Amino acid sequence: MDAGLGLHTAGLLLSFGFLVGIVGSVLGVGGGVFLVPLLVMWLQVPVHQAIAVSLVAIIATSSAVASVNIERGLANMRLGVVLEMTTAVGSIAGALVANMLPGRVVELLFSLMLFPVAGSMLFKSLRPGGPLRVPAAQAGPGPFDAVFFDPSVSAETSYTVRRIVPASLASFAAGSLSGLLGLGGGIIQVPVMNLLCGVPIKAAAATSNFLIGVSAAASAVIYLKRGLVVPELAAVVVAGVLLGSVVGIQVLYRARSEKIQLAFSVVVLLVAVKMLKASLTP
Amino acid sequence: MNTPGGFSEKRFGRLIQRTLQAGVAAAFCLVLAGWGLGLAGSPAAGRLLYAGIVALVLTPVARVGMLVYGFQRNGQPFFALASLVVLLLLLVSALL
Repeated sequence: MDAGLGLHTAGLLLSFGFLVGIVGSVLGVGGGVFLVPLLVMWLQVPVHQAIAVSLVAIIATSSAVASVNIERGLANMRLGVVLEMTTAVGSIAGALVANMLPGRVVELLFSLMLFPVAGSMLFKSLRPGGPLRVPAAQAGPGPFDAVFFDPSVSAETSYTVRRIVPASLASFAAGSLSGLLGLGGGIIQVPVMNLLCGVPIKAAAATSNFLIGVSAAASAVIYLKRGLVVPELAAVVVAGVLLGSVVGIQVLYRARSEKIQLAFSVVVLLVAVKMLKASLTP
Repeated sequence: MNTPGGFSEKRFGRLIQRTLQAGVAAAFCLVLAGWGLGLAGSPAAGRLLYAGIVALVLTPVARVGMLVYGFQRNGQPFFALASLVVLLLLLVSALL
């Protein structure tokens, strides 16, 4: 099946990547939350290499999903490209910092970051009204105004984007998270676009997905140049994640995810504790 | 929205969509070829897998390049400039 892994391991990684792709797309958290801990704790892959694999997987899913979202008119390309400027800077900075830090420190930071991720998933699962949403402002003259067809209400939704400067600063933080820990940054981008900028949640998620591909690429290049991307490992995992994401979007797009969110928030919490203990153990 | 050059938002979106699809497809084909050669025991398998990963990483770069072209053609110089800045940042990251 591949050049360097045994068939058994490759099969397991492909299957795992597939499951991560499905779960990630259903939960909207990206695969890195599950991918990095598993590669580090199960396969003893060095954390920098695991992050590199996660970044390549983010690029694959972002590129595949964004092409669909552009066709549906969900991704706001003008907003995306403006936020990409600070996201890319953050991503480059994050990758450079990560490459200066020892693996154990990166593992510690990763495990600490999992706690708010678990909290966010728990919050979403317990919130009776579903995902966070602010009423979309009526579209007026503005460079980022957009309109998309929302099938859930069978109508076109138009919106105006506000507060682009603070959103750009938040995008820098999201990019740093991507480069430093191999997480997509959607956990920051989506609420910021939705709550701060007034972008409807579906458009915010699609635009976030559109721009995380670029932030992941900016840092993946740095990992690639340092020889931290293991092609045999990355190819198998990424193929699995990509296939899982496509299936996840097509099949489970309309699934109610509250209970799944609740279950996986507990899983993420357990992973965070286990990884934290491992990183603190001498 | 149609522009004086006849480059509609729809055509622009399709250009970006096809760029992304082409990049992912090329990467996937290279990886599949790498796996095939791996099964055949060819030493070139690793190089093809690596080429597949590089193709994937370059896909968003190509997409940003198309944004520069598309926004410029669409008469939106501010967004063309923003895309160009992102493209330059990606090139800088490759030099670090």
